Amino acid sequence: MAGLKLTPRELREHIREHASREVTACMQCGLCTAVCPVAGFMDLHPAALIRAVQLSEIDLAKLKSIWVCVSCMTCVDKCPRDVAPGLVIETLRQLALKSGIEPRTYSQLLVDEATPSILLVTYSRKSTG
Amino acid sequence: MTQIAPTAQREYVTIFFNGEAYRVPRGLTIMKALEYAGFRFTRGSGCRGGFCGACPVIYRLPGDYKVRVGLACQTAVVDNMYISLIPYVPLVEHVSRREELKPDSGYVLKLFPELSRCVSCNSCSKACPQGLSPMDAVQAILRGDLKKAADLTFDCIACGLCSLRCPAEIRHHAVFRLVGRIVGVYYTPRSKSVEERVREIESGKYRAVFEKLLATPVTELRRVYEEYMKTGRLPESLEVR
Amino acid sequence: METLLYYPGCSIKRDFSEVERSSRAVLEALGYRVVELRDWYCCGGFPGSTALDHVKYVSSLRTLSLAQSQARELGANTVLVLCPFCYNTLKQAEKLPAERLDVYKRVAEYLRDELTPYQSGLRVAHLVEVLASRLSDLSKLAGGGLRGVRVAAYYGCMLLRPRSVAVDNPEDPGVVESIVKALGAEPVKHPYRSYCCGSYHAVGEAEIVRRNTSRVAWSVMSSGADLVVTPCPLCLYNLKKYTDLRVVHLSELVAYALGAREALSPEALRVLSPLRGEA
Repeated sequence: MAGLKLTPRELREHIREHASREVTACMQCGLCTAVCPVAGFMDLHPAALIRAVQLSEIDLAKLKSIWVCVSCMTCVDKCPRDVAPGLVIETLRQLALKSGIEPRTYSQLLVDEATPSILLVTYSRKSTG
Repeated sequence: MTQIAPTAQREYVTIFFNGEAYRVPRGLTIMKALEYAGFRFTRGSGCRGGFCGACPVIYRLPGDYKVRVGLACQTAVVDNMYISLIPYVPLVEHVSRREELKPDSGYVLKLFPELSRCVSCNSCSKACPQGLSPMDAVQAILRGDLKKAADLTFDCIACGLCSLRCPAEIRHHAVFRLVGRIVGVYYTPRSKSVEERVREIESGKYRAVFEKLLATPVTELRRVYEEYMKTGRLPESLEVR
Repeated sequence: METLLYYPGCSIKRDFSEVERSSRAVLEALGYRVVELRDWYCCGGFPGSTALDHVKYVSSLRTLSLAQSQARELGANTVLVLCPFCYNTLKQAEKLPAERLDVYKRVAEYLRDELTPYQSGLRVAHLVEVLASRLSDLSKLAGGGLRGVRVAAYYGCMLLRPRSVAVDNPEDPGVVESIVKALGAEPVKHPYRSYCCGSYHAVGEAEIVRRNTSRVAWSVMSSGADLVVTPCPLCLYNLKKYTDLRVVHLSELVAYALGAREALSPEALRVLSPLRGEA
């Protein structure tokens, strides 16, 4: 489907409503990116993503960060302003899933009979809607 | 089932189908009531006995938010039923060859990874017209207990209503059929008498009788059949030694 | 004798039955009665975290509701969990009535058709917490076989974050180290002991797991540890598959120290037997 683009205002409101968090409180200290264990694999690392949410349009269909995040919640634990980037990412992910965007199909997974359920269950929770 | 009273005394109820109201006699099943109203079932009707799963139906009653389910051939009409027939639920099955089957829930999960999406909402069990619990079967598979899953779903008639309601988009019947096959191949004890009979058949023991039967005219066959139903015996010429 | 209601979780049952075996052996040696829950449902791995996915609490609240009736029968109130994902999800559900009443009400209302919803009164506890409350007993039961063996802990994420359910301080956790010490071994702390292993990316972007586990491995090796113990089966799987660290589940080390060799898998014995403590 065509990209799902949201304006900063729509996103801010959405995040307030569903995650009870205020992205305008972010002062770009970068702590979240520093502690994020998967920031190097993201297209927009956590601090950059919050900045994008503050200022520019985001195309949910193209954004990779939301699928890379594993919800380790280290950023949520660290953020001095309670912006909780991990929850913001989770909200964006839910929005994408509800719009029918999924990162890949099951047939593309590296799963065989010996793959523990916990991997398949957690993957399904995060990456299918 | 209630006997249909003579027209003068008959009670009627109103049912709604496809946006139209119909007055039908109380006591009919949904299937019979729709046929009474003039519809002819060319799809979505089968054994008419509650066992083939061809006629699942969803309906609602006024003043009640609940979605109710049933089989059209088994559910009696009630006044003000809003009915929708579900003739077919797409369940693209995976048909494994017998040699591919493995007694391992990992094999089932590999073919149906969406099983891991089950959120235990129980919508499936609420939708089952047979009162089974598909959710418990899915959970049993996730736990690795294929035998329990097969036991719980033995009476599944594959109507598809559970899959239609499932938010995780699980293909219940396709999964249960696979699990049933695996359990049948790997866990169910072999029936010696069935194996013996198959051997007999393959050895040609019954070939002569069959050929004779196929060559017998219909009138004679009918007579043989009636005689058999009365006495329980076949004529000597048709006995197998 | 305290009764623990045991919630297995699907992955422990299906893929890590050896963890169940060693955990049960250890808990029974400590005098607990471990009774598996009659009815339980897959926790789903992650709890609901936004207002868009309250449905993710249905399964945990359903399990806790059914656990509550069994708890009353047995006079127990602790639900023992072995998997940190299950722990995190069930613990957040346990706290819903107190901390997120609006979410609790909505999910409880949905479940009310089928059962009496959970209403607080149960305590979800991970194995680590149970062991940490019995350190002096562990010391008494442990033989001296691990003296001088240097053991590093690897916690993973789900036991430590978010703080509302953390079993220890996520910045500087030490509970597993205290258990290791009680067993007579020498715990060694290392910087990346709560750094995410990469989690479920092993099925999709395996490169993430490869990179993250190699960082954990570097961190462990720089500490000079002989062995890594982890309380998380997912981390265990990732560390075993992507690194050549010597690693076992925490319950396996405890079972070994307590002399319950028959409860250990051949693989765990292969890893643990070569470690010779200084007598």
